[in-house]
Amino acid sequence: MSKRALRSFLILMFIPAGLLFLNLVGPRGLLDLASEQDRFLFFYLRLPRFLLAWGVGMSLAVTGAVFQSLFRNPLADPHLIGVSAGAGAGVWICAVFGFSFSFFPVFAGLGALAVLFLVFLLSMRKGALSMYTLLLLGVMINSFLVSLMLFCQSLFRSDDTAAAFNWLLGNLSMAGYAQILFLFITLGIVGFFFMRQAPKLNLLSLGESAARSLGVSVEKTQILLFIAAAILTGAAVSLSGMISFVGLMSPHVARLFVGSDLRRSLPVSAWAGGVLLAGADMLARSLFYPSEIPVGIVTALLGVPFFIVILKRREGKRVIS
Amino acid sequence: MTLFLGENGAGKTTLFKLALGWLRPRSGKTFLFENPVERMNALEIARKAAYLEQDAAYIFPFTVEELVLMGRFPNAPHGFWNRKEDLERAAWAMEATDTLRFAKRSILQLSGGERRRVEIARAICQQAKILLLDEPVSNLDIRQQIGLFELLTRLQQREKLTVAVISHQWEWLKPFLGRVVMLRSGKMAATGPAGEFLRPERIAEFFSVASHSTYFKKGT
Repeated sequence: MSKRALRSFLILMFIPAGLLFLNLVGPRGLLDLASEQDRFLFFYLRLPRFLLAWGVGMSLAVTGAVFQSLFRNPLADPHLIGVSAGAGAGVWICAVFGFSFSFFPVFAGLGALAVLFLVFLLSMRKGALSMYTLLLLGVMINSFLVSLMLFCQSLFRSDDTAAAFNWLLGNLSMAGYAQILFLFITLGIVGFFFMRQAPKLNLLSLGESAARSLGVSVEKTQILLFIAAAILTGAAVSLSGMISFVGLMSPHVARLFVGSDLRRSLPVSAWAGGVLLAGADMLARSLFYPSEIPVGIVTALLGVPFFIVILKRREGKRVIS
Repeated sequence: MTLFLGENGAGKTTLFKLALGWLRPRSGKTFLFENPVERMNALEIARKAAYLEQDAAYIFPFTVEELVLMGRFPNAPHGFWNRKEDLERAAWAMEATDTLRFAKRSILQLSGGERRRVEIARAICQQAKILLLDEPVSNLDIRQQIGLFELLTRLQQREKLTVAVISHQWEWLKPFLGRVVMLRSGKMAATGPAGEFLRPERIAEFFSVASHSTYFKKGT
């Protein structure tokens, strides 16, 4: 990487992270906990939220990167495979049947697994997963479930369903430490697996023929990667709802700075995802204080122009080289 | 170099896929260097035979160097970082295919002929002794086609490779071709030396078209 690129990369990655960290330890933060209330607010509200933002951001970013390579589609997003909609449907069922919102993650997880199972079953043909069918099914299940939820929302209008609907747009305040730990453990295991498979995934992104000709067991690798990515997506979404754009943008940001080799772009994607989501969450809380915007809206509204700016600045440099 | 000829659907690509073990034959066996293919796993096969597909579509802007290094995978499947020997081999392959000057450029910025050279460099990195090329010159102009075949001939002689090519274009590539295998309906219809088989009358008869010697005429 050239010195200039390295500099912009460091600026982009570490300054926002630094700011977020400062926010955490600064006024009313870790180093300034005066009253009991301050301590409560920090350890029960701010810290879990911060950690969850990082966990979900990193999870969505790496699964986004993996799906983009698996499906050979730079527009792929972890929510595309329908698992997130399954989680949403699970949450909606939980709300409609009157269970408390602390059960959201459980229902979401079950919904995610149900859709994963369904999509997997329908896409398997002769021991191989058809990537094409997978993508198509995912998109259709997404549309179907989201429409169903919106339809029922308009029918059942009540406080319960409003909570479910709100969750759907992304909510980082509803997880406890145990659940966050679970997410980080899943992220650790799946992330490690992804890194080990990174060379193979690079080959797969060249196409099935090319990968096969270089000795990759295409079918087996695709299945394993898909299941791992779907599980991680389900875990993240079941704790935080459908947060869009993080999974789509982070891999692109990473690629713009360190290239397409996943051995380098995966960790950078993860970092970008964490920064993006933690930053978006901070804005979501503070912009219209004391009311909150769902974080999924902030990632879309602010993430997109942010990405365009980066794209334009890097594109100019690439064309010259 | 052996040329595989036949109408569309005659089974040329299928034959290559059978040779690589990607397809199982309903009867009979396939052997690569006297080893039955069905008993070999994908990595072992990749170390023996390299395949260049017809129309490679590139989605991600990998650099030429990154792509050529990917050819080292069959010989280092469990490694993570590139070893010194991998980098050396890749540099050698890029030099042999005259693609070293593109090393840091994105594959998306290269022309069809240049991409083909990169793919050949990647194939050499596999250190396979058999090279199977599926329509390697379909999108190239004459000069690039001849250039590519000159490169293949050089590599073939230097590395003692067996090169098999499927191509619909061969008129100006005759000097590079040794043998021709003609396929029809999944069977080998005929085989023989290129000089004899690539004569207009022979080709016209095989493909059921009329042939006219119109290219060179004496006088007016």
